[in-house]
Amino acid sequence: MKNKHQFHILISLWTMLFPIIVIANTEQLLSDEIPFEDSLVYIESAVQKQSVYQPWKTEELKSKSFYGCAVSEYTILTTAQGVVDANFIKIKCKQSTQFIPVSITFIDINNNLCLLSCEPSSLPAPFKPISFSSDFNVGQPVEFYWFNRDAKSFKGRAIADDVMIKPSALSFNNQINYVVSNSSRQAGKSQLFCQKNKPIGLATWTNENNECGLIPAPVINLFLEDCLDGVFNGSASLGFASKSLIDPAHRSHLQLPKSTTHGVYISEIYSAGTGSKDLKPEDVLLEINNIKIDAYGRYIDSQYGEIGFEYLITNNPINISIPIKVWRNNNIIELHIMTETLNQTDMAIPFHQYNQRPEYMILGGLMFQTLTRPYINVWGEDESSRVSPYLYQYYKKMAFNPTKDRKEIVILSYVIPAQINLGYHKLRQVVLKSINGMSIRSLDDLPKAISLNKESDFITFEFENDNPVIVLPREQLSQADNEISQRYGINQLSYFRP
Amino acid sequence: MKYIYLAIFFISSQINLAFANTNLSDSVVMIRSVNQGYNHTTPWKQEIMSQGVGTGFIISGNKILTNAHNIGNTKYVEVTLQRYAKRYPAKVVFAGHDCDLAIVEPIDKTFFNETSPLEIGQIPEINSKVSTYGFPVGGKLISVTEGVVSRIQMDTYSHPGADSHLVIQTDAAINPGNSGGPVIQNNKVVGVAFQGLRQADNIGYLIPTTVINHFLDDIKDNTYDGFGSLGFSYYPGLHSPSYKSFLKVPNEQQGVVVLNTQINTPAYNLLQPGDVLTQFDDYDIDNDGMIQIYGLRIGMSQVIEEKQIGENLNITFYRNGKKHQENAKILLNRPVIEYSRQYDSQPEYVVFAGLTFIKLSRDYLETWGRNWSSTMPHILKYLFQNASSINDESDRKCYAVLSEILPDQVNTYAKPFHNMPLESINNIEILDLNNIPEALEHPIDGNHIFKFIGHTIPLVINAKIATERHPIINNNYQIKNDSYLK
Repeated sequence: MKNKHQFHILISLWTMLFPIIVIANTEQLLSDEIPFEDSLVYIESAVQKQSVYQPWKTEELKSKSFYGCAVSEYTILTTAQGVVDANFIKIKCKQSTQFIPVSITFIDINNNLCLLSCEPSSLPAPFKPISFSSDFNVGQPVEFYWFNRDAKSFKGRAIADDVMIKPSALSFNNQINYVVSNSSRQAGKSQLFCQKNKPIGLATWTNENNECGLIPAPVINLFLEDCLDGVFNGSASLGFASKSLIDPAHRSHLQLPKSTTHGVYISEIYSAGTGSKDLKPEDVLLEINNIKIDAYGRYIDSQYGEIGFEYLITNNPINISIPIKVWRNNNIIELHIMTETLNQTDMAIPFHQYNQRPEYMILGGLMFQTLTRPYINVWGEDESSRVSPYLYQYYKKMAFNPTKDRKEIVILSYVIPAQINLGYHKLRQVVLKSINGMSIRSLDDLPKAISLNKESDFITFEFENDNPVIVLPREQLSQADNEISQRYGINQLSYFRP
Repeated sequence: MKYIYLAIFFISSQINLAFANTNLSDSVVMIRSVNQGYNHTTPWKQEIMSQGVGTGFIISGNKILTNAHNIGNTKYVEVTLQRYAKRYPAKVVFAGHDCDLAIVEPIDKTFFNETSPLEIGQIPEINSKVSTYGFPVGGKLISVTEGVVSRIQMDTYSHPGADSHLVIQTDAAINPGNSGGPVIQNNKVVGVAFQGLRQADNIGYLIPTTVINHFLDDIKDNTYDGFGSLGFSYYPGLHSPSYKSFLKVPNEQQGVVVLNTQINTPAYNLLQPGDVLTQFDDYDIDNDGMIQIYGLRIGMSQVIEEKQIGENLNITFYRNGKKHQENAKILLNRPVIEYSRQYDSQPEYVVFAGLTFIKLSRDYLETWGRNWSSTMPHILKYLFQNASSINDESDRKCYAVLSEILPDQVNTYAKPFHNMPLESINNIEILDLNNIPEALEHPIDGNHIFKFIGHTIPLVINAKIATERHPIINNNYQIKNDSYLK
C-alpha cells in the first residue's frame, strides 16, 4: 500500500511539473509504439433524433465522434452510446484513407456495447482482431489508444484505480466498471484500454476528477460470446431492488439470528428480470452461488476484491440457474433463480427509447403520448423539480411494475389549440384514464376506444386527478384533424410501433 | 412569476417632510413591533427576533387597524402619533392573517385623546385618484403619495402566501413601512396599503373595504373566525359547446364545471364532479367563473368572501340536465396540508427517541429556502400539490413528517427517513399527530416499526432502548415537552 501511494505521488508530480513534456513526448512516441494500430478505428455518426415533445418532428442534426477497435476481420466493437439514434455511421482506420460506411450488427443498450460491421470489399486489408483479457491489477499503469479523424494514432497513460458497480451510461442496469485515474489525455469516448499490452476494456465515462470508467473485459466478452451464434439474447439483469441492512433493530425485527451478520434487504420486485419470479419484498438475500453477501450488498470477489453483489448476477448470460439463499419467514430458503434480461418492454415507463420513434396520437388537437423517462427529461436533468409531481410519482412508483390493467401510462401531453378543443387549451401533463368509458391500458388501446359508442355525438376523454372530461364532437373530428395537421405542419397525426 | 413584497421595513433614522392633510394625518399611527416566530422543524425552539415599523390608523371604537404582517408572531408592540414623541405600549386584539388585517389597541387609552377615527368608504372607481398615508422607509414623519386605481381583481395575499381575496392595484408608491396605512379618497378610507410588486415600477396593492368590512364584522363577537369556503374546485370548461351539450346545460346558460369536492367540507355531500354551477345567490356565474358585482367583473368566490362563517349561500347548478338549488353553509374548511403560513401560535409536534414529527405545512416546506417549491423532496412536493385529490381518508387531519432527527445511538440509522412523510407506526395509520403517542403504545415484537410514504424499507427502533433513551435525548437537546398538541 505504501508503494502504491508513492507511485501515485510520483505520477502526480510528473504531471504537475512536466505536463508539456509529457504531451509532446506522447505524441512523438506514438507512431511506432502503438501496439494495436491495425485494430483501432475512428467512428463518426450522424444523429437526428425524433423530438420527444413534438414527435412528428426531428431534432437538430448532430455529429458524434468516438472510437472503437476490431474484434474480427470486419467487425468493430464500440460503446452503444456513440451509435444510438444514429442515422448514418462511418469509420476511418489505418487500412484506408477513405471513410467507410458501417452498420450496426448488434447493440446491447443495457451494457452499452455495440458491434459494427463493414463490407469486406470496403477495406483494402482486414482488421487485426483483438481479444480482451480479464486481468486487471489495481495500482498498475494502463495505456489507452485511439485513432483519430486525421488518421493518426494516439496513446495515453493512466493508473488502474478501482473496480465498482455503477449504472450503465444508457440504462438502469448496474454494471461493473473498471476505474482508472490520472489520465495523461482525455478519455471517455470508447478508447481501447490495455494493461501490460493486453486489452482490458473500453472507456465509457469521465469526470471532473480526471477519472475514467471502463466497460471491462468480462462484460465485453459476455457480449461477444452472446453474438457468436448470430442472435443477440442479452445478459442477465436484476429483477429486484435492494437496500443495505445494517440497522441491528431492523435485522432483529426480521428475526435474523445474531450470528448472521450478512444479507441485504430486498425492497422491491420488478415485473421481469432475474429473481423477479422467486424473490419477495422483505426477503433478505444472504448468498449467491454460495458466496455470502454482506449487509451493504457487497461480497469479496476473488479477482476484484470487495464489489457489489449485482456482478454475481449480471455477469451471466440468460437462462442460467443461479443458486441463492434468502431469509424468509424466519427460515433460510434455498432457491434457484433463472437469469433473464429486463427490457424496455417490461417497463411501464421505459427508461430509454433509443433507436425508436416516440409513439403518439393526435386527435382533435389532443396530443396523447406514453410517459417515458426521455419525456420526463425534456424538462431537464433535474427532472423531478420540473415535470408535474403527479407524473413523476408514476415514474417513481410504477416504472418497473406494469400491470395487466396498466401496461403503459398514457398522458395528454398538451392541447394543440383549435376551435374543436376550445375551453381545453391549457390542459397538459394529465394522465388519461378512459375514452368513451373504456379504461386505457396502453396507447394501443386508443384507436379501439375512440371507435366505441359510435351512436353518440361525442367522444369523451376522462383523466385522473380531478381533471375535466374532454368532450369532442365526433362529426367534426375528421375535418378538425385535417385543419390542425395543415395549420401546424403535422405530417403524421399518429405513430404506433409495429 | 410575481414577486410580491410586504410593505414593512426596519427602523430608519432619516427625516422626511410630510405634506399631508393635517386632520387625516392625525389619525395615522406608527407601529413598532418586535417579532419572533417558531422554528418549523424543531418547533419547541423560537427563531431570532426582529423589529419592524409599519403603519396603522384609528377607526371607530378606539381601535387601530393595521396589517397583520406588521404584528405577526409579535412579542411587543408600541404605537406613536406623528404629533407626539410619546410611545404607547400596545396589544394585538385581533389578527386576521388570512386577510392580512389586525386590530391593535394601546394599553393607555389617553392615546386616543384629540384624535378622530377615519371613516371606511366604498370600493373606489377604476382610474380615480387615491392618497396613501404611512411611514415608509426614509423618514419618521408621515409620507403621502398619490396615485390612480388601475385594477381591481382577486389576487394572492403574500402574508399568508395562499389565500386570495379582492385587491386594488394602484400606481401610488407603496414602500416598506407603508404597510397598514390608510388609502384615502374623499376623506374616507378606501383601502389599506399592504404589498407591492418587486419587478415593476410603482405597482402597489391595497386591501379593499369589502375585505376590511368582513374583518370588522367578523370580530364583532370578539372572535376572529376568518374567511370561509365551500370546499370545491372548478373548471371553466363551458367554452366548449360540446362539453356544455354533454353536460346537458341549456345553450344560453353560462357557468363552470365542478371538478372536485373536498372531504369534510359542505360541498362534499352537496355537489358532484360534473355539476355546472350557474348562480351564487343572485349572481350569475359566467363561463370564466366571474360575476358582475360593484360594477366590476370579479371571480365568483367574491360572493363567498362577503359571507361570514356559518352563513348560507344559495347555489344554483345543473346536474344531468336538471336545474337544482341548494343552500350551503360557509365553513372554515382547512385543508390537510396547511397551504397558508401560520402565525401567533406554536406549531404542533411530537418528539420520540429523538425523532421529531411535525405537520406537513407551507411553513415547514419554506425552510428549504427561497426556491422551496422546486428544491423540496419530490414526495413532499407530490403531497403538497395533490393532497386534496389523493386523500380519501375522512379522518385525516394532516400528513406527519419526520422533520428532524436528534442524533443518538437509538436513531443512528434513521437518516434516510429525514423529511419523509409518515405512513404508519406499528401498522397503525398516522392520520394526525395525535395518533403517534397512541401508536407508540403498541410495539411489534419489541420494536417500533415506522413506515414512510414512498419508502420501501421501514425504520425499526428497539422499543425498550427507545424508552430508556427518550428522556436522556430530551435532556441532551433541551426539550422540555415531548409534544405540543392542540
